[in-house]
Amino acid sequence: MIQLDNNFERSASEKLMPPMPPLSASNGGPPEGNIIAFVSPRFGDGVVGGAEAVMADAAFGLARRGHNVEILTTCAKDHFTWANEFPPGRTVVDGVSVTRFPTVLGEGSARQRVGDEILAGKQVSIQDQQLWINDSLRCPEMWHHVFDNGDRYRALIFAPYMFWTTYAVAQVHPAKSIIMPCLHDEEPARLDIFRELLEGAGGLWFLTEPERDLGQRMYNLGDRQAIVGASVAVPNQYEPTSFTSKFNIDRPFIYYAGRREWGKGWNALLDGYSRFVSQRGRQLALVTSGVGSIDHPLERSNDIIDVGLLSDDDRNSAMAAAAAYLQPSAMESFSRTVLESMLAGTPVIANGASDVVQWHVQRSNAGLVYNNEAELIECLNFVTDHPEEFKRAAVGGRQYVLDHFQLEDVLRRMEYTLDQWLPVGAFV
Amino acid sequence: MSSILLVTPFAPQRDGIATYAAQELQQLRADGHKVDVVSPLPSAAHYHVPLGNPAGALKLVQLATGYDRTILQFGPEMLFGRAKSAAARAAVWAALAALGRACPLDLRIHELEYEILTKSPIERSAARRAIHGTDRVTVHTETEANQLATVVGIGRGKVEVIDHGAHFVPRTMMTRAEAKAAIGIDPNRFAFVSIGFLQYHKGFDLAAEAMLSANLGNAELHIVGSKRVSHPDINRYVDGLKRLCAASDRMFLHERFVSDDEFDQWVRAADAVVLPYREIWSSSVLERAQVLGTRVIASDLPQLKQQVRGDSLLISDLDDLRVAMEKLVAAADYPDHDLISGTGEGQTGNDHRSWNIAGEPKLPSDSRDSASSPLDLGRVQAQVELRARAGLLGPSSEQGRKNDTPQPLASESLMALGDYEKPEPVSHRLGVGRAKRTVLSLVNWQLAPIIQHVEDLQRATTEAIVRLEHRQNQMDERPIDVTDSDLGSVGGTDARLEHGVDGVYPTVGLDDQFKSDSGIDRLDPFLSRELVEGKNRRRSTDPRARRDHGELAGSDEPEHLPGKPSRQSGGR
Repeated sequence: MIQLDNNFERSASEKLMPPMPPLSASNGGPPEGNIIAFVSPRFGDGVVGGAEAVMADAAFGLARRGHNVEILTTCAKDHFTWANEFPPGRTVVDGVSVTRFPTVLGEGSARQRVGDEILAGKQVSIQDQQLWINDSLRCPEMWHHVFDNGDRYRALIFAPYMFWTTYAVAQVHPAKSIIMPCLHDEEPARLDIFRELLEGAGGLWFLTEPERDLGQRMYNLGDRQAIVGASVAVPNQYEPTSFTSKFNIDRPFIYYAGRREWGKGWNALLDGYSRFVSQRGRQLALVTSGVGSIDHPLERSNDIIDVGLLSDDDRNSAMAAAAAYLQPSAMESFSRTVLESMLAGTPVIANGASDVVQWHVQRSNAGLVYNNEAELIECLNFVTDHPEEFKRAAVGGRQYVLDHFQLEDVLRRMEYTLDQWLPVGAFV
Repeated sequence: MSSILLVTPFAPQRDGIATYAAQELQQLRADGHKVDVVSPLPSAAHYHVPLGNPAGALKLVQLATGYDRTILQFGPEMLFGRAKSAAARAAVWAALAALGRACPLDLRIHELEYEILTKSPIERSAARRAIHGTDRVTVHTETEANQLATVVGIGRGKVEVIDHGAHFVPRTMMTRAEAKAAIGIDPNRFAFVSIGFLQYHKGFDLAAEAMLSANLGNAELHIVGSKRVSHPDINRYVDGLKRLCAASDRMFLHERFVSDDEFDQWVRAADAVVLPYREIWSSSVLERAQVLGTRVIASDLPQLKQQVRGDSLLISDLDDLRVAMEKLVAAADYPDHDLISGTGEGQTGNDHRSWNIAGEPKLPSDSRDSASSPLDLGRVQAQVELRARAGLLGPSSEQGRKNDTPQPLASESLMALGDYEKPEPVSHRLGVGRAKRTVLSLVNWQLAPIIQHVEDLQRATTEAIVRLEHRQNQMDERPIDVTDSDLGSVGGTDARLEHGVDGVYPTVGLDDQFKSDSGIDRLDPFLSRELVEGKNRRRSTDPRARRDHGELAGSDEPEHLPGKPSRQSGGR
């Protein structure tokens, strides 16, 4: 029906199984209406994305606590191409059923045209909003799976709000759909289509207070909303020296991990860092891991060092080795990397345009924020001039993370809201 | 088990036919059929084939050959789209005929542009051939079946009438009390619900008008729905609904898209669903209400009449609606039910309706009487305007008049002008339609603002005249009549005059007729609706519609304004 490429990359952590029918009570599956499904646009090895990570943590965490959990996701790994890189069908990962559905891409011209108008803050008709959301990736097979099998699910958890998998599929059984919007203060969030989606959902899980406040400012939300938070895993150890040796880093450095793209503030960071280098010379390198091209002269002069996609251990060690962690994104709903940096005892330099990051920094006193390029350069000057003082001043960051962002606390909040909003058997 | 191709607008697109199709899809799959979906726009359908032109229709034919059967949810918007000329439309019909030859074809006709078919012999002939070639043609009412057979020229036996709700299953098992609790409606109050896309032809404003003027005690009206598309007319209409609902704490506008589940909860929670449609082909809301066992008050339109079953009430005008609502409330047994004695059908000119002044913040400067009710003048002002208009335009205004002879109003000639009707750039002559469209595209950037400006000017002029007529009418025919209870309700005669934003005018202590001698110079956006009503009257041949100037449901002639978003059967 939908043509797929045959060159699938198999995830190392997935045990590929022969095609299986959907689980049901009659063939050994959990009782009808008892499954909690996490519907994520992407899942698996090599997937970079904060919302996707939060969803995976929650899915496996609730499964460990005895819930019947499934993951419904696409075959895509890359959120630019949405190419079907994983094979479709059901597999099992660490005891959790993962069902993948192929993506279909729109032609893209309506997406581009309307998207430009949305970003320019223009009034966009409802018809055009619908064209825009439907002209990106779609996943019809996922929609039909949920449409046909709705009775199996106690709850369907979606994130983030802006992808078609959330917009379209969460409207199939909205009463049992809980959306973790991962909301930013951005133009698309003001569209009618998302207002209706979020106001009509069976529940909303927010990651932080600022995100919840933003949601309340933007929408008319009902009672079914809660700040469940998200977790940051506590590493067993950090090996900063091993990291610098492994990647031949011989200077103090600032670190950025994540998607290197305009929407994440990457370009602005490059501009500010370039100006800093032109003023102060090569005293502080910029080390970066993640995905997205760099294509900058400072990469050739080894001032910008791309260490590629890192393992969790290497990333944690990079956090610990850095003089400061840079968060240039204004669009953060949780900012996991900022918290990972604090956990590693490394101070943060962050874009103050993000309410969430500013909130973390103010509550932890573990970093600095900037509101323009000049301030960014001054922050870099400070870390260059006083690296030790900066680290010592930010020592409270680790305890802040340990006190507020532990997985078991998050899971307990999720369980509590599930029991309140969607108790087992509510829809049977 | 057979393989079926379902051709339809589809989720997540907001569309009444899409909602209908999803329910049929569910039923077909439950019956064991393998069903794939194709939609004209990208959606959750398995295939996306751009229809709206002959090439798209031909692609559909190719696709359909792989299936045992094709079901096509027929709506003009989906099928014809950009095919404006008679030739292009005839080509789409020809493609449909080819589809019928390629595989067994079920046409579910939700809406058909009979006006165009009547005018165009080429298209009519093409439609006849296409419909002849189908395996099955279904509509939802006898009226539609007869009309289709007559206009297109096919045997009546070819057209089958199927129950609009044939595939509908309830999406909630709640009792009424549970549904009310889930939504947050007071369980002790009678709840009227008008639900669906907010559009002029749905007539939800009439339900609000009836609420304002009827004797309904503590009953509530909930208007629930969203704009289906963005359109200036719809925006104005919804703005008017907001104003209307703001006039009473018993009326609520819930402007948002509701899911199918929530939709059924609202219908289940309602003690009565109110559907005062001005025009409709067939109504999904009516069907869902009947499936859920909720009583309906619906317009006496031919198509609706055939859909209605059981103890639903049919109404033909605002007065009927008011009476029907009062009847249902009076028959209900609610503990909080507290009708005002002496009102309703036996109402006299001196009786009055209650004001909504409860729960308002106390004026900081008012230290005269700490026991008096706090007051929000803005809310009262809104009530003054709306009550005045209801009194002037509604049937009850007839009661106090000295002379029942209909008086032509000066604004009628202005209203009869109607909106500027932009000619469609189409022609039956080869090439002329294209030339018209070319000219239009060249000059439209300059013409469109001028047309808009002229329309705004016409609207403003008419509003001004209507306002003057209101004032004249009140001065000529309505004596000021302040009752003791009016004054008592706000704590004394001092409350009779308040300083409003625009000057001094009475804000409280009035009966149900407007008694201001100061005039109101605020714009009432809802008057724009009256302009449309004016156009209705111009077209109507019913003398009563002309006599009852401004009586909103007075005309039973459906109105179809060019340039308006199309209606859709099954629409919500």
